[in-house]
Amino acid sequence: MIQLLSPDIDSAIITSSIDPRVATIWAIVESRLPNRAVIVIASATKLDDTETIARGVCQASQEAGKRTGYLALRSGRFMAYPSTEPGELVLPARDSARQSLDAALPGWRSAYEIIVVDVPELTTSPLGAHIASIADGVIIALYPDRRVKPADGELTMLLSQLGTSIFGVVRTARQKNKATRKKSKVQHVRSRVPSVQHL
Amino acid sequence: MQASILSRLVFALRHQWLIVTLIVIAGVAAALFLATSAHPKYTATTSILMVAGSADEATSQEMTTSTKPLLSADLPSLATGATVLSRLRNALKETTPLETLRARIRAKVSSESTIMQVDYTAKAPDKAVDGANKLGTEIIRFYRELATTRFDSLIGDLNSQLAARRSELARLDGELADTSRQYPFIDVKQPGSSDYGSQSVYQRLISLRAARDDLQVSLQGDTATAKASNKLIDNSVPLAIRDLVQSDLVFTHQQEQYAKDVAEYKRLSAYGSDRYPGLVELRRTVMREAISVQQARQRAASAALAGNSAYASALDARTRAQIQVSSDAAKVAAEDKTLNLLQAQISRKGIATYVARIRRDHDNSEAAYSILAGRLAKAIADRAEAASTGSVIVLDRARFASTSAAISGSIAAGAILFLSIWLALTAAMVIDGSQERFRYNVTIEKVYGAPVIGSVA
Repeated sequence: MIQLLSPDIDSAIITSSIDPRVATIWAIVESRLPNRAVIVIASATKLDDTETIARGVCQASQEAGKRTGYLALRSGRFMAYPSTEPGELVLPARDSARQSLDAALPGWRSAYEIIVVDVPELTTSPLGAHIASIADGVIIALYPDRRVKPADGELTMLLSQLGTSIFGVVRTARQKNKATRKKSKVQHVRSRVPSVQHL
Repeated sequence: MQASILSRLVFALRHQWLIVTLIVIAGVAAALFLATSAHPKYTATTSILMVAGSADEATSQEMTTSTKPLLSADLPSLATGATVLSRLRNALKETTPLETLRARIRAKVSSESTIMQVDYTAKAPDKAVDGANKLGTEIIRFYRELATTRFDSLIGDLNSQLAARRSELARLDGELADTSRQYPFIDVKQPGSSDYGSQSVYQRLISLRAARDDLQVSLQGDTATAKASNKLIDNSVPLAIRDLVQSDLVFTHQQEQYAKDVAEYKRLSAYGSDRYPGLVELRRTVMREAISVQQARQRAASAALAGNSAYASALDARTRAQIQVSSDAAKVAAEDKTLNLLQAQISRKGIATYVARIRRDHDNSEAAYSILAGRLAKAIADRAEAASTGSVIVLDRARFASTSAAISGSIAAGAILFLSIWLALTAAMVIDGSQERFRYNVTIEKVYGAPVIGSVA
């Protein structure tokens, strides 16, 4: 088993008010990040829930006092975290999404210390691969009950080719289907402020 | 350990629930079908005795004298054959498929016994008894058909072979007859005659030549006889004429008168005509008498020779000799002609070989025909034996039926249900165990090459 935590990280977790599991993850990741960083939360299949981890990391980053931005690649929206708005649509069309991203990214980097990008099914998304190539590291979300699939190997190979470092793998819940996800989003907007209890 | 197995089972059920559900549904359906369709069954038994024969003897190489078509150990197969089943179905007046009918029948025979037990299972006891008895009847009937059918085939084959041999013999007879007509001096004897093959063509040639030589000798002898007869006739003619003339009084008188007149004329002539005035007249008279005597002689010699006995005898002998000579000459000519014809036929190339080949083929065909006829007679006798005696009989007919000791439908349905559940669980475990899953951190780290840094599941 790989040794994950150090005594400093343990003390940081103890003093944090967020979910200890998220705090642990954030502590491991933060120790390897520069002052300003782009973190990609990726997965190999659509069964793996990346959104929960992405929001948890955002919350942990924000709790750590860092200005945090959140880009959901599935919806193409970007928002400052925390936010009561659904976010700005920054990637309107697939053809011009990369140009839009490249145009917006310098501004985001100057405005936010930490930018968290949610990229489900990274192997099937060219834009996601582009983001991963410029990111400082990737956290892989994995639903642990599922079978090993060829996409898992392809994800590892793609990240290796892009030269992107992997912070680690995080066990997550199974990705909800579309109807459940939409219902969950509505509840999330109604609650205005997301909490770690949603994790 | 039990908790681990249970957790694995729960895990497998959670992932393989579709397979488990399908198997259990199939099991439930099968159990329901069995529970509703199962009925009590009755079995009746018929005993069939197989009389041991040479077909069961290990040392028997051929079944020439046996009327048993198959071994006793093969008889159970006969009971479930399609022919017997089809006939049984007709006898029972049913439309059941043959496979279903076959499933109702069980025939067994042990190596120590010659009795075959044939069981027939039905839903009703009377049907079981009826089916068992009719099955036994059909088995024996078909067995005897098998025993006679093979002889029928053999007899038919032998008859066809005999017909072929007969036609071949007729053809060879025709060829020999044609040859006899075309070449009468070569193998003139027909097959079947008493002296068939006793004379060769060369023996016949020698005998013909000897006969021709004998005839020539006879001809020469008869010719000499004819010549002697001619001489005898020549010698007897003057004597016969003399005898005839001497026996003719007119001639004798004329001759005597002629002799007197000639003597008188010669005497008177000696004196001269001037001395005897009637000499001229006498000379005329002598000349007339000479002519008359000559005519009388000729008349006597020509007309009266046949009346002479010696001459007639000589003439008869000459005639007989001439007839014999003519006959001998004709016979010699005929023999010469025959000899020439025979010589010409002998000198023709290949005729003798051709005739010898026909005769050899004829002899071979006749021998083969005799063998086939013998085999046919034996086959007919064997068939009669097989049809009359047989070697399989019904020893004990079925009289009652007993219920089979099969398990009831509900128990069978429960067993099937249990088995289906067990199969479903086993299949779920096996299938799930064969699939690699992200169940442990070791697997995750092995696949991704990165550590597991947390869990939010």
